[in-house]
Amino acid sequence: MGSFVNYDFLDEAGVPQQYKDKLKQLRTEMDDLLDLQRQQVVDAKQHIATLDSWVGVAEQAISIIQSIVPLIPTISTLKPIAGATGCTTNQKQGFLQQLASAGLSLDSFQSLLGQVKI
Amino acid sequence: MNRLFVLLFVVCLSFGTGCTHQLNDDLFALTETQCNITDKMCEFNEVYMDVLAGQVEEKFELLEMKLTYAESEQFLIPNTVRGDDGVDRVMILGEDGQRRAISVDDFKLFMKEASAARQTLNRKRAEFDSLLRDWERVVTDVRKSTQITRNMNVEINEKLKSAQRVLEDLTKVTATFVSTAAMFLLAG
Repeated sequence: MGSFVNYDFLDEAGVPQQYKDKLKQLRTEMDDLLDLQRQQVVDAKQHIATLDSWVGVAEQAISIIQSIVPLIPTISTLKPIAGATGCTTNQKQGFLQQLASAGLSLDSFQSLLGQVKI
Repeated sequence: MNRLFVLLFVVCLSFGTGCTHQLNDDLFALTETQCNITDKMCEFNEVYMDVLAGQVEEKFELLEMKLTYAESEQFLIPNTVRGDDGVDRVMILGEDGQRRAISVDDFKLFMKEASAARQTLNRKRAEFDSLLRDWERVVTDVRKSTQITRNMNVEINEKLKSAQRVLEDLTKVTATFVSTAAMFLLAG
């Protein structure tokens, strides 16, 4: 005995297989792209952190250089004093006066010199 | 000392420039990936539009009605009549609109078929709904990724601007230092 009701109409129901396959493939490709983007974001964050570190160091360097530049004239006159040879008493006194006018003692000046060497 | 400064300056500048180039590359890569994601989303939309254009939803509605009707037909069993052959039969209304007497065993078989058909329809319907939910997930994912790219774009651009300013400042102060030092060295 055959079926009382013809259920062939059910074959028409649902999403055709070709679309299901295509959507599955697109979903995989989309996931790959999203994974790639996540990795790129992680990389970019790392590079931003590196750049931030560099900016910090560079700003310190700028600050040190800016504090040293006004002292260059004084430093240039220190050489004969530091060697204490070929330097007259007047030259020494003149240099110490220059230091005092810059608000520096001989010790603090030598400390600054240390920074320059670094 | 002047040479040492120039050397340090060159190293520092190279490193900073390298970092900014790297970030520029990151920005480019992120933008390119976002474009690919958007293109992929368009492909998704096209396929879904095709699916929806196939009137899957409408077909489901029609089939649902048809199946319900088929099921209800089978419940038109006012009486069970025992035939001359001693077989119990029920009177049903066929698809062709004609009344027919079928055996109770056949009727049970038809009930089983109807139940299987209902399950098939439900499974296909669930499959379709699942595809629609997937689509919604894709749309959400793409929306999030667009926001992520936008945020990264802003952040990277700010960092690049700040780095550019520091690079310029560093160049300026180093130039001042070198020229001042050179002037006094020459004078000395």
